[in-house]
Amino acid sequence: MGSFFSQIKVNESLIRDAPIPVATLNSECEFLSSSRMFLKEHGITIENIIDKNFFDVLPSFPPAFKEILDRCLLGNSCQNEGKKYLLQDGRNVWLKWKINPWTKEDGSVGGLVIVLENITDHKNIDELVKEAQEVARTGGWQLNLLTYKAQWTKMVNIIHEMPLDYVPQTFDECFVHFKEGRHRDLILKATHEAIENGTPWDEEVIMITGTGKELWIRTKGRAEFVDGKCVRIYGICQDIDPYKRPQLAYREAAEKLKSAISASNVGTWEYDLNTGHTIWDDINFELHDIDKENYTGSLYRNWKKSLHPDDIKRVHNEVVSYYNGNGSGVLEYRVLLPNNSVRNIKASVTILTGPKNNKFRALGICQDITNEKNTEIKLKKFAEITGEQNNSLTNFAHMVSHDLRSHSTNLSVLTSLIEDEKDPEERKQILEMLKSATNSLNSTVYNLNEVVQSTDTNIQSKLTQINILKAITTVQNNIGTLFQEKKGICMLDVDPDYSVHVVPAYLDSVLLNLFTNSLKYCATTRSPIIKICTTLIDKKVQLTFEDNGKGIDMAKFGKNIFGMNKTFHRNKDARGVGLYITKNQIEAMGGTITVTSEVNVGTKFTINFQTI
Amino acid sequence: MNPFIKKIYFVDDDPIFVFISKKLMKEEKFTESIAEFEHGKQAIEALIECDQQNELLPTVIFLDLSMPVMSGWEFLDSFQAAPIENKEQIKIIVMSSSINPLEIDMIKNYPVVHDYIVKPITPADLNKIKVCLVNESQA
Repeated sequence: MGSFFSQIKVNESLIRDAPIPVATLNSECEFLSSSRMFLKEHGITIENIIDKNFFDVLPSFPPAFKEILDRCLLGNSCQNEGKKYLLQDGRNVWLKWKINPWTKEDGSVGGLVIVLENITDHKNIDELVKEAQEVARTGGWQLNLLTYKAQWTKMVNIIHEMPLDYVPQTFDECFVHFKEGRHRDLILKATHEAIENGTPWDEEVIMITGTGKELWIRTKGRAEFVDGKCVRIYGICQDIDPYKRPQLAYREAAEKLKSAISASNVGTWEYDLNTGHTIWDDINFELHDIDKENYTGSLYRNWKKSLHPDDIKRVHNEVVSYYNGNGSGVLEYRVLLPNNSVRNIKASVTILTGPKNNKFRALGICQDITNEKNTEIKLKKFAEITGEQNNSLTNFAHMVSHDLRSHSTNLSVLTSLIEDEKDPEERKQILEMLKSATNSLNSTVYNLNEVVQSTDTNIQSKLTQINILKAITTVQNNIGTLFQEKKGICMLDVDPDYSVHVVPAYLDSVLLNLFTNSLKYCATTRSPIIKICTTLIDKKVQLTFEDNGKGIDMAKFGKNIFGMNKTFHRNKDARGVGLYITKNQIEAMGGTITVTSEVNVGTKFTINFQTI
Repeated sequence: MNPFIKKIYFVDDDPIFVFISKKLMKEEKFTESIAEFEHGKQAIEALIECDQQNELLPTVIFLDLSMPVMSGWEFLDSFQAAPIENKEQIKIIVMSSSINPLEIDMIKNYPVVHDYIVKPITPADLNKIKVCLVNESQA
């Protein structure tokens, strides 16, 4: 006995410093000795545990552990690499132990030698790692190049959809799982590189699973060298299929969008409202004629600088207004190009709003709409011309109807009157009137004819060179009787060498109209004097036709003087339509006519002719 | 039987139309006297003169629209503005050869215009005016 206890005593000090958590118990499960590591391992703070019961010292130990101790006290050894116990307070505890009974000299069990570790923390980490592997769907593998044996974790088989105990039997078998072609070649090459040069790899490839499915995985591998020779390659295998496919789909869509955008010549941009950070695509740079590689200052500033000066203020106001929640976010502006031409841009803006209703980013697209704009302008012009023509046609139709009606009315009433009239004096008077009404109708029809002809579009071919002095004197002679009747005088200051490029009949008509107007509307108190002068202005002949007649109240009639808006008057007052025709004829020949006049002083027409 | 209407104004610059209209009125015994004017200015001046001299105002004014110097439109404007006593009793009949709907619309904007006649004047037109005046005097 004595020797045993002395032995224990010696052992006690040995045990105290043992580098493992070890303790000895007697058959009553009371501590005989323990290592410092044992105390530390189990957080025992009681100073002296000798002779104290195991469960008194470690009250939080699971009671189930007592069964193990009891069984060992029957003479059995017991070993466990890790067992999980649920404690009363709900915590988990992992224990790892090795227990041997020790025997007294008589062979009976004297107690136990326990090596006991609390591996809860390790186990938790292990579990975490396992869970992490599952969540990340990442498995590990290694290939021993000395034995050509492969090893991999269960997760690799789960990913591969292979039986959980599957392990490739040969080196080559490791590679058959990769999709034949580009993917398998890539991995073979990467493996080769790693073994030869130690280059690690990190690739995304398609593999074929045990059920024949294609699956995107990420594979990482590196090599281990001993004495310059590769002995092992190892790495991970991760299932990236769930995000790789959407990523590829997105990339494809983005690629499509990009080509669509570049094909449609739409520029895109983004502007961070907080930082001012701006992103433009190449087309946007092109559209605004800004050199992508070579600009200074902020893009916003450069954009503003590219605007047509007349548009800057309006565009700025529209942008501010849209930022404040008004307007559609679509604006049009012009970009001034170096050759002074203009590019029309249509820009659409969207402002992105954050969860707290805070605006944080503006993005938009820009489109070149120059062609559309030009077409629109052309169309508008056409519409205007058509509208004007339509207007003047309607006016014309009403005037024709008015004038023809008034004559025909008179004619028909007069003819019915003359039938019933017996008095020869009356009959004579009615006949006079019939004659005058017929003349009026005739002159109206003549005027209408002139109007129609002066709007003839095919005029250029009829233009010829005419000596202006000759034309004037011819017309003057034709109305010689009217001159005599009115006692009119004509003073000419016309260069005999001047020729004008005109339609001869038009020129005659214009001159005739001006002459008759001047004579008809002469002042009652003085004889009519007509002055006609020609001068050269910018190598073009200008003719002035001036009289001393009644004149026209320009303030009242100025704007309508050449117009057809005021009905042209049926009988003696054919002035309205006359001037309308004159203006039409002159303009048809490429010239212009203007008028100045003063009541009771006279009227002066200025005509600019086209010359070659 | 003496005509019911004592005095009318006839404002038109077309002598032929004035001639045939007068002839018709004579046959229809429409009025005792007709004062002729070539344009609106003459007519409005005569009206004001009449009013100042306390002479009899015309019962009806036949008014052409397109005339030199002062058109029918300008006459209507002047008439509306002129300080003539009892002028609302004068019936203004606008006459035109035009069948322009725009013109007819514009005439509707002048409440002083009693009626619109498309030339020529017919016996029925005159009769209609007469009936209207008789009814008014009996009312």
